[in-house]
Amino acid sequence: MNDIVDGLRYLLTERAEVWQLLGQHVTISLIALLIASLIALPLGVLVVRVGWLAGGVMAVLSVLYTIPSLAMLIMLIAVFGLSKTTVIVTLVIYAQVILVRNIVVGLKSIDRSVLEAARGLGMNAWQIWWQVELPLALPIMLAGLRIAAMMCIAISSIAAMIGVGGLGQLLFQGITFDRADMIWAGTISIASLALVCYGLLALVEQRFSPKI
Amino acid sequence: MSTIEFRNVRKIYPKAATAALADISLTINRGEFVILLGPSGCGKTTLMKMINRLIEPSSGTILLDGVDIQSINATKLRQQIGYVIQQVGLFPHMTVAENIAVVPKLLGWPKAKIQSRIDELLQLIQLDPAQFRQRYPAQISGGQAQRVGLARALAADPGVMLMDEPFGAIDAITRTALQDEMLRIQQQLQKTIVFVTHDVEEALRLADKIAILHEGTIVQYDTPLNLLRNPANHYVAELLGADDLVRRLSLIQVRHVLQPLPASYDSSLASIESSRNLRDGLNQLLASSDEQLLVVEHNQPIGMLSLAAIHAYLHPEVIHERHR
Repeated sequence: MNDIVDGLRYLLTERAEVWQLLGQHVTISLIALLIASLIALPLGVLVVRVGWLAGGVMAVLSVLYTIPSLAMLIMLIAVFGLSKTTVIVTLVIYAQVILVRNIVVGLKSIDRSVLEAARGLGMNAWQIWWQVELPLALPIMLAGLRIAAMMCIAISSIAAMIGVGGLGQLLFQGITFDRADMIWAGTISIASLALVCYGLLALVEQRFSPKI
Repeated sequence: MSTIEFRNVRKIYPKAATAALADISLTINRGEFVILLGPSGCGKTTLMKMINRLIEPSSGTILLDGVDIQSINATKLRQQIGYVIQQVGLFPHMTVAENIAVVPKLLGWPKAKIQSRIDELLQLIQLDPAQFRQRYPAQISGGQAQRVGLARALAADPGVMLMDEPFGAIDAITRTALQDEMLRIQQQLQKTIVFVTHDVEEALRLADKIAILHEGTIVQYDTPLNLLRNPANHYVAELLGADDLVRRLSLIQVRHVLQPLPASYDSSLASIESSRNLRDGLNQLLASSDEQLLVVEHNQPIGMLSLAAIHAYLHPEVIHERHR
């Protein structure tokens, strides 16, 4: 119990450092999420439109997802060095499985008759996408984004190991210097960040869910 | 209101052994309620979906008011044609009002015009605008949803309505109510309607003309009355149940067989509504001591119904001989 209090005290007294680490953590996660979404959206739509692609794409993504994050980081260090790029690429790869799968499920969950009606009433492909497919699939897509965001926050913590900053640094330094207060400070701040993000994204999701 | 003409239309699906539709030529006149009737797989839905280019023919041409529909942009064409499907396909994330507004919005109607059109259509389909405008599809019943589907298809006042088994998934009582409504709306709007069904009773009840399809060809295309009287072949007779005379009587409205009103008539005769069926008419004739019934429409006598007329309807060949 004392350790937790010490952890909280550390967060207060070293808040300048904590804010900086939080900033790094959030920046890396956000950039990764943004890039991942930009890749996943066209990829997901492609998988839905071109039936025979589905099996292959999902299989490749699933295999990538099974690689442990530490192993992935180390493999990518060989390519991108000890840099933020390594972490961001790792996150983007993991996020793909979650995002693409939810985009595919979201789009496939749309009743075929709704799409037939849209076509039959004279909407063009673009209008069907914006007025029917996207709004109907959005709640499931956003649920994917929420899970991917949690994953990014978690793996970014491990990424501190290669010296790119982030709240994970508190954990690793705490272990190195045998400082329980730093370990707790890291744990509490990462958990809080995750909870806040989860709540915010859940609100966004609710906003875009059907009003029934 | 528009005329639709199929000229030598064929549809062959790749890898299929036989043509889905073989050399169809068919003219659907302005304002006619035409039903494409046949068992599943006979090609009726394919034929209908060619009219709004959801399916393209392998060869042949389809003319809408004399214009080859291939020369019209597919989405523009569809915006001019009402489309109703069995599963309704209302947009679940839009309110009833928003669903109805879809095509007018695509056509860029001014907002005020769209809003008044929504109210007008809700009244036409007998759903109170105040109560239903803001509801979501999940908050209305299946029958109500199909009415809204009908209103959505009618929204931009299209000349042609395509209806693909619209009442197929609805319980029998609601279906009958919707069929009545359909007849009422058609009397009011006089659209050119192409309606696909496999339900013989529904076809006989609603259609001005029925095209009977069998294995990709039109076996016979005629009014319900003529189909029952002169089925082209055994298949048609069997499908319509033309041999069962009592059943036939129950499918034909009195107004189809009435005799002209004579210059002077006994206004004290028992009367029957023109929309009742011949079975009811026969029943009433047998129950009364009179030999004739007065046929009325909107409380106005419009003709007479007699046993002889019913008999003549069931045995058209007798009439032919007598006329010679």
